[in-house]
Amino acid sequence: MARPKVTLVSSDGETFIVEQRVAERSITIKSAIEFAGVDGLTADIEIPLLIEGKVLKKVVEWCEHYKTTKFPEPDENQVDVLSRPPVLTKWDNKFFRLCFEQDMMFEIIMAANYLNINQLLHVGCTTVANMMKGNSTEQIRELFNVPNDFTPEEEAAIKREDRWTK
Amino acid sequence: MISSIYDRLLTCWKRVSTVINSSSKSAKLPTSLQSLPDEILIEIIYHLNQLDVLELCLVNRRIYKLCRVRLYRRALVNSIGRKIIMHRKINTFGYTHFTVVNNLDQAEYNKFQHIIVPNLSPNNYGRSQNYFLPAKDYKEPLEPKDQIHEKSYQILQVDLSSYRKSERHSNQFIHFKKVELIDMCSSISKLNKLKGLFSGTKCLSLEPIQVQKRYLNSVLSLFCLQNIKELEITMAHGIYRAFGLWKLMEAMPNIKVVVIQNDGSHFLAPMVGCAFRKLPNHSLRKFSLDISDNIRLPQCKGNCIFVKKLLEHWGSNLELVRVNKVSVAERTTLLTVDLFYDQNDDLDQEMRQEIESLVQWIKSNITKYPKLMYFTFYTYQFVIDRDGEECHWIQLTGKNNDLDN
Repeated sequence: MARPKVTLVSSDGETFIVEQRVAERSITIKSAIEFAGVDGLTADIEIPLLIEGKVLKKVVEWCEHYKTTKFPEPDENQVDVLSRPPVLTKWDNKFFRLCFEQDMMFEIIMAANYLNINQLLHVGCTTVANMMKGNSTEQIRELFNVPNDFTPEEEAAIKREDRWTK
Repeated sequence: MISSIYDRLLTCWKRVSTVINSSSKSAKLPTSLQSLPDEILIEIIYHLNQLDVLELCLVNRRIYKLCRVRLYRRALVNSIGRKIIMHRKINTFGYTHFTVVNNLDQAEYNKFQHIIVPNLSPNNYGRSQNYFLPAKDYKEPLEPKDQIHEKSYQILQVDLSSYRKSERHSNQFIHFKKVELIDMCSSISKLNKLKGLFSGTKCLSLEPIQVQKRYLNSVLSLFCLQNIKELEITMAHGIYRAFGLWKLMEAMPNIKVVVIQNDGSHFLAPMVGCAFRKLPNHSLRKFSLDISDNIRLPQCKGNCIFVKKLLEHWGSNLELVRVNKVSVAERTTLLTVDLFYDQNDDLDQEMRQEIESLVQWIKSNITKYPKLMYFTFYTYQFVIDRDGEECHWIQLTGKNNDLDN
């Protein structure tokens, strides 16, 4: 008997048929599957998601790539951010940096957050952080198109306040 | 049944989704850094070292606010004679999770090299030596910028030598200004988000504030900090004297003392002797003492006396008294090398008698401590359940059940 498949439906109606283990990379989807079939999945299931098709496609691509990878379980004893950051693989770099535009990268991060795919979220955050590293304030503003809402006085005050950390 | 509920939910969702989709198509803005929620931005910020965070701070008001969380959550006040060189491209764990303040003292160079640096290692003593890098040995990693992580530096040795300027990096190394701790306190006192300050040599805890005794007087000025409700004092090495803990107990409602590699009674005894009797009652509500050392009888006796004095003096307000033998590893995710703790170490009969005597004493005086709800002494834990005049002692743990009547 063939294993039941999971159909992920994007907000614009696009469908992605994936194996259960691929879909269950997402804790959100895993919970939905458990809700639909308490005793395990016996039939195909359709799960609608509030994610655009083009974004969901990339998320599914990531999940497919890592479907057999065993990520370390989060350590309950480790406090929030003190858990080790993930190391980006070449594939991750290519996936995030070379394949698409910046807004797509943020969409994927948001989708990872919504779907509760920790590893993808961490990898996305690491990628954004890497883009910021070594840049000046002005370069970061330009890179991410963020307007400056400080007054010159406020900016000067912050620089004074932070002088002890330099 | 559940499947039918699921089917109905699915149908509803499809209708909602159609509406959301049609409305969002007309008004959808491109997703940007600004669209990310705070928790994701903070996650991103935690991948940056403090030099990058300082640049990021000035981008806009929202990001500034979030950067504060990172900058002032865990500060490492470097009291060693050598500067910790910061580089924009070094993003190892120590740099991304602690704000380093250099206030270096030559005499403590060795202490730094052998104590602080290993303690910055998250769960691995061996790898720790890659976290702070020597300026003179620093080499440009071969990987692209975004590939840099601690593995890139594993071949280098830690030698916190003085900074040797190189042409190549002349614009990239940034010297710390020497900042007196007191000045720093004054600066950060304006901030509301401070969650912790480390100023010690041994154990990096995740608890609110840690100070080394030599800085205690300076740290007294921290009381102007807003939102600080707890104080943790880490004691490591050296001879303990009456160092002003009572002043802190006077000023802070929650205090935690951690004594590492030493007998806690050395610093508790002077307090018992002089400090308590001088002080008026105040607001101390929770007192906790962790000692990561093998329990010995004199220490146990000394701590029993201390607890009695503590209760006598602050009993009217105390809600929690905790004296605990603790593993350093239990307290921090940064250090798993357990130097002094033996899980199987048991109390001998004489110590049990001491503790029993203490517990009986507290029980007989319990009416004087109307707010005391929780009491721990080493392995013995009691919850005090109050029902009007009646007091019930509930022993949660402890190997001698005779202690609980």
